[in-house]
Amino acid sequence: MFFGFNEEEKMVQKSVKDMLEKHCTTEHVRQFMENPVVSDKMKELFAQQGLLGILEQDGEGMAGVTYAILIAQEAGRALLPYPLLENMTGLYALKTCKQHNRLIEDVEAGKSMLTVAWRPENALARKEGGGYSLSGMLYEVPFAADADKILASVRIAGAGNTPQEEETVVVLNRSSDALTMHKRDGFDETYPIYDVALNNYPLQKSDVVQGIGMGIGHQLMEKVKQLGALLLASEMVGSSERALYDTVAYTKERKQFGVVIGTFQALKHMAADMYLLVESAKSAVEYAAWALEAGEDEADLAVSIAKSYSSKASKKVTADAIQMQGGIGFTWENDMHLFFKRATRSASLLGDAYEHNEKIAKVAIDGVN
Amino acid sequence: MDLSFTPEQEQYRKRVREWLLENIPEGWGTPQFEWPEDEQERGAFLREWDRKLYEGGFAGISWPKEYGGQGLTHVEEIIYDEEAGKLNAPSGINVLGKLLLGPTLLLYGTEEQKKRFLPPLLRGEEVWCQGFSEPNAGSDLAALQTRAELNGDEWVINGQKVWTSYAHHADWCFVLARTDPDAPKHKGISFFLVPMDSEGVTVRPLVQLNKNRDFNEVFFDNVRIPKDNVVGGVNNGWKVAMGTLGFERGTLALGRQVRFQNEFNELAKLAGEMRAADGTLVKDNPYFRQRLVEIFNDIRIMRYHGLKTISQLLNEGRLGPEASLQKLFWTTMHVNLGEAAMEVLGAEAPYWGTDSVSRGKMQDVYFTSRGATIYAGSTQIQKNIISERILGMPR
Repeated sequence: MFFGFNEEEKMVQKSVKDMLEKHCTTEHVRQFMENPVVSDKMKELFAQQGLLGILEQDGEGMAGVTYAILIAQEAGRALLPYPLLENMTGLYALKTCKQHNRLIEDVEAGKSMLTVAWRPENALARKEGGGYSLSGMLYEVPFAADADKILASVRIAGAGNTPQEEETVVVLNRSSDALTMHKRDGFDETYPIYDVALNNYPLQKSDVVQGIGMGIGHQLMEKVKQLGALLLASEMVGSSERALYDTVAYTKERKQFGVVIGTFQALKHMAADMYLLVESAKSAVEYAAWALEAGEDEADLAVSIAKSYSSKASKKVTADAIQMQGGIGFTWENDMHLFFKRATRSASLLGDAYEHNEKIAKVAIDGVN
Repeated sequence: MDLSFTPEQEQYRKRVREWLLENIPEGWGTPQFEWPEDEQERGAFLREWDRKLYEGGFAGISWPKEYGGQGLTHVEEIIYDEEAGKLNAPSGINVLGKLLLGPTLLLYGTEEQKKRFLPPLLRGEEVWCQGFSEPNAGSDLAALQTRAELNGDEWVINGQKVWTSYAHHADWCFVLARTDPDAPKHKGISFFLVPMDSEGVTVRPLVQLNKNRDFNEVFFDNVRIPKDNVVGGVNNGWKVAMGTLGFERGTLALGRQVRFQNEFNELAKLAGEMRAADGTLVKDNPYFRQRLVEIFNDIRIMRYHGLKTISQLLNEGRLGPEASLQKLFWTTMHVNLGEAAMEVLGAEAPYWGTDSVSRGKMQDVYFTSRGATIYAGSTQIQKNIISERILGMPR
């Protein structure tokens, strides 16, 4: 019985933290907001760390989830403007298949950057010649303009008996002429999101991950989304923890009524409530990581609890951080709004609290009736 | 990270379960169970359970064998608590002795004290109560005014304690009293062991808002006890008491969690019977589904916190101020569970006992949960501890 991290895991977390404290300060993040292009430096740093491809299937369970949540937590703490979880979960998907070794190497070496289309709609491929012609929409594609490849789940007509069975995970070339992008005006400017339109994209069999239709793609994408939800939850833990600690530091300096405001019980109790939310979200994420690695039956439930709880907790904590800092907390110049916006975006995507709670209800409520 | 139990531990779990199934008094926990009206009979019933536990080898599971314990680890202790929780086994009457005094004596007691007090405590022969709070010393415990003065070979104790659970059943009381009125308030306190049958001890019952009468006022009027009945040294009582409160806040988490999960499951079943105002079954109503699941999530997270605490206890051998987090978390959650239960019951909420559709169970959660946010360091005190000792905010 050990609920914690071993020395090696702690070392990895610390090295990512140190790296981001140096190369991803809020000044760097604000530069990115002005000019939203992922720097080569950032790609190089993650390649050097060598951990992007750490998530792998391992028998009934998984390997690398513990490392992955620790890295994601640091990404959240630093407001990292880089598609970390898209590359981690994308590599996981590619590694379930033998025919993408070259791409896997390139992504791990920082030579190629992946993203994932989280919400495809009416993306349908029809047979054409030896391959397929793919048209439709891919919504919610982070960093699409910078990515080299897009991992997406699309339907291949006739590859199954239901639309769901037809789903097939494919890798698309972002630079193809058949692809047009539109950047959404997102309020979280640390994580740009694009809509991608596909118009007769020439899809080859070699673009397919794992297998065509027969429910294979659906199952794979569900797993990718689940891992994405957990990593996003962990990012939210990192963001809210930083917002809390930065705010607590501020209350030890800011004076009103002749004393530092940190002496006021009204603020202390807010901070204690925030701490409770952060620690609880953290425990939920850590437990879910363990459940996935151990291949526990309750892993799905645990991930949904982690995402649901972190979504509510991080919005509340980052909002209260603004409140505790008062007028200055409401300014553009102060960093708190960056955390608040990132938390809100993360809470809303990959299943919001409502959606995950509804999944949980099937076990918690319907399961006993 | 490894949150699994070893095959040996699973074997132990099986043994506990089998023993409990055989020994839990018939009908216990069901509406048919007839709980004696008389307070003394209730006490006798619970003492009998404590005696059974001892004979079965489930008292003082992690305490050393030389003091009547089983010499196992906290993990076996937790396994017992979990299984007892699942089967809703009685908690016995020596809760405070086992949870607070025992660990305190193991840490601060002299060899004679451990030998004298621990075995009868575990055998269910000597029931303990806790004399900490006073009318003018609640959250500000160090302001306590009960005095103890040395007179020859005896301490003479004068003062009043309040909210003293089980005092009407107890044989002994562990009492905080001021031994140096001139010292700063935290420095002049000592931790005493007082027989409840001493001349000058008076117990007056208090009825709680849930109609239970678990706690009392206790008056000490020139109560004389032997000089050696001090734990951890004269004027060192504050330190000893703080250790005690740490136990109170940290352990038992998983057993309690399982009991809350049982309560939740009962509530979820009720949701499958009751109808919401729009005519839908409560369990199918989106508002209630979300409302209930958020409590379910909290109960699961309570388990994660519990596992973390245990891991800390096993691997580092101590509990830190993080125990405050746990207490704050579960007490808030339990209040929320009670409130949700009243919503689920709707127009059937305001009736309790056998006249209630839940046989009073949900009303019991609703009212009883209001005590836990106050005792053992109120919610507000826990928030002070978290903000000052963990977050380092200035006093």
